Amino acid sequence: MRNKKSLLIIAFVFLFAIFLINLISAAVCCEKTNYGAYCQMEIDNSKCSTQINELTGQPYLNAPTSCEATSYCKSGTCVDVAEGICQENTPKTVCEKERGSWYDRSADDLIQCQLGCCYLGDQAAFVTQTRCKTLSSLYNLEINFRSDITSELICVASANPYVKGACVIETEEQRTCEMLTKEECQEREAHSGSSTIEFHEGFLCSAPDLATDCGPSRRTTCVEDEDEVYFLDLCNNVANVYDYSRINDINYWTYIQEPTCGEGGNENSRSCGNCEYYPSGTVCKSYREANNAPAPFAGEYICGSLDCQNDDFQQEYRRDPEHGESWCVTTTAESVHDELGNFLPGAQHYIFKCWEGEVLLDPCEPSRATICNQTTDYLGFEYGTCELNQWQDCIAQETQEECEDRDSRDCQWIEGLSILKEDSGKEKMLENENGQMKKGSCVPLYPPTSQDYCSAASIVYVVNYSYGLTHSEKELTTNPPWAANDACEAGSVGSNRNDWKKSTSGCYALIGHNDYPAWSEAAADICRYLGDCGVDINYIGVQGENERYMDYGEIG
Amino acid sequence: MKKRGQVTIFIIVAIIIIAMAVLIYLLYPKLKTLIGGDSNNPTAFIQSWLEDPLEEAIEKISLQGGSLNPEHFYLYYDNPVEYLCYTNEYYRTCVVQQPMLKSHIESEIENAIAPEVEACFEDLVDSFENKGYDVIFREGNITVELLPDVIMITLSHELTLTKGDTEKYATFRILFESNLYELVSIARSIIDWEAEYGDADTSLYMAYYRGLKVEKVIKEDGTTIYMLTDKETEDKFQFASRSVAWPM
Repeated sequence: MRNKKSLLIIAFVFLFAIFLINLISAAVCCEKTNYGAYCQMEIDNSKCSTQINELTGQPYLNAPTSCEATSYCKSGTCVDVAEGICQENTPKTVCEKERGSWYDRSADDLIQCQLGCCYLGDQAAFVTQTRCKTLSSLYNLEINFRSDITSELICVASANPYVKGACVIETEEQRTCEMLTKEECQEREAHSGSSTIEFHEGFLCSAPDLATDCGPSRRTTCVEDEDEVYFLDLCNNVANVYDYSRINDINYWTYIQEPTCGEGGNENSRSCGNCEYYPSGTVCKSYREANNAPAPFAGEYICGSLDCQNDDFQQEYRRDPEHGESWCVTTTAESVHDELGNFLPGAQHYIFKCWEGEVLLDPCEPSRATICNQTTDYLGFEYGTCELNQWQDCIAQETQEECEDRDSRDCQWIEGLSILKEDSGKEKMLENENGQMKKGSCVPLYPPTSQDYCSAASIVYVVNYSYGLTHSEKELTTNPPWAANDACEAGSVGSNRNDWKKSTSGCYALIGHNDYPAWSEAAADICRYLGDCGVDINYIGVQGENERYMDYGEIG
Repeated sequence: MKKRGQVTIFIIVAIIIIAMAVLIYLLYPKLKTLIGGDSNNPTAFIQSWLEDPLEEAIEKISLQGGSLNPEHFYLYYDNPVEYLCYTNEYYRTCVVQQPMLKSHIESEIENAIAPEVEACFEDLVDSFENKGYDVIFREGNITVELLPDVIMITLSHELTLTKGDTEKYATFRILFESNLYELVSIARSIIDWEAEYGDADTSLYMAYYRGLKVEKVIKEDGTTIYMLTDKETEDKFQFASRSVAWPM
């Protein structure tokens, strides 16, 4: 007997293995599909392109194996030799189609893909040496590439802006000045003709000692690629950062120096232009363009906020969202959940993010495979992120504790009905948080949109009937419309619930039938927790239809 | 009687204005080159001639993921947006479909403007011949280069103009202001992310590149449409990717 059982198991395993092998071997790697994509796995070769590959002069290939195992679709690094650009995870055929050089190695292992720091004037870029050569020649600069710098941050930080200073230009008529780098000033000197030019490193043109016509002024300006508000001298040269308390400070108008006023962005400050893009979220703006900003004590510009305006956020948090802040929203705020807090069919999570004064939308997966999770940091700053929705093993949980273990899964516990069944088909009793065995179900906290699990919520309503002269009891577990006639004598029972209720003789329901409406509602709720199942109103408020369900609804 | 005469004059004036408007509309490109471009300066003439078709081509290519006629695309608001990275499977990262995006776009722009360049030189030659020049013209190559802040078009067409003196032009260099170079570099980096991890963080790119707006839309089949916009110039580049898609 035992031998027979073992043989059966072995036979089953063997057959299953053959089935799996067939399943795997049926998949085909198409070099090109007939819908135009390269290196895709298809169930069979009917979707593989039969066109001629221009490079090989042969038809595009396909093979019953994974793409990684083929010579033509193996992933590697594609190098644009002329540009010095390396693209990883590129199939060989795709790279060669574009006339690139393909290598069966990661970019880290290729010398031509080694990144380093490329200095271009007073700026730096973290690129390959070839790219550095190209960029340098574009700007007519000598190549300055450092392969020993292997971090982009260090590279950018190591860019050494040429030291600026006052380039004083003296002609017969005037003694004027421009803020230039030493190199620029020397170049000016080379082409100066009769004028005298001298460079004063670290000095501002407004320095009294230089005796130029570029004295201090009360005017300010914004500077491209800079956050701060700057003073302008009388010759429109950019001086130090606007600090009203130092507007008459000779030292502040003499030397180039770091700002000392205010901290934390100085939003709408009338006296300090020391703005901070991150994290404070302020940049130089005309006070007229900024929201409710006062005029500064001097000039037109202030540190304007990059914060956004959003009514829903304002309503919930009693403030406007700050630059960089993000929060969770659903498809439409008012209709995404039903009265139970379930997702309505079609509803999806989004992240709203405030960026440079504009509220941008970032979607989570439409299938609700990811859902938005919002956290608040210790400063009250909101962060929304799309996180994996771990609902897949909810149904299988048999205790409330395991069900609600948020580290392992995103599920919720509902008591009253069990979607898990005994072998006999009866609802299974599960252990609740008090250790009691109750009818209950573990369902997804955020239902997926998939309808694959709808059938799991198929629960049969059990009614006990009394029938016949002996008043024998029979449990009917059929779906409505009730097949009571199968068990009771023909004609002795009505075909709907109200008829049984009225029935005083013959075949009648003993218990349970009065609970049907409530039971039906609870069962429908479980349905909704498992996915976009059953008939429901969708996220835009349109009622769905299903004839079969509607018929039942009349009864229930 | 006087009034009736006035009405007739008004009608005639109106007809003349409408006729002129129609003529301007029909002859616009040529008229523009005659008015706007310096017809004695071939480079200015070409620059003026090519500006509109070039702008049109760049816009089309930019909104279609870098190709004039995308082969494999997602139809987004009736616009075919090319997949630069794609997998037809669920849960898997995408396979790069366009590893040499910059060179590809350059060659697409070349193809788009080639007929316009030909028509432009025909006009240029006609224009000089009408002014009594002896013109020798030899067609050359078109090279498009995406550079920081600019697209440079080099036409190695030879033009010799003789009217007493001889002027010889061996190449023409046209510059067109555009941030496509920057947008394409960022798109390439996003493709890297998509192929490696499956989903790029738009905030990261916006934090890194000031003045850049990165938006994405995820469609039901798992396709993500990325839209990159330079906030200052409003130059746009959009492309599609399908990576680590989840079944509905």
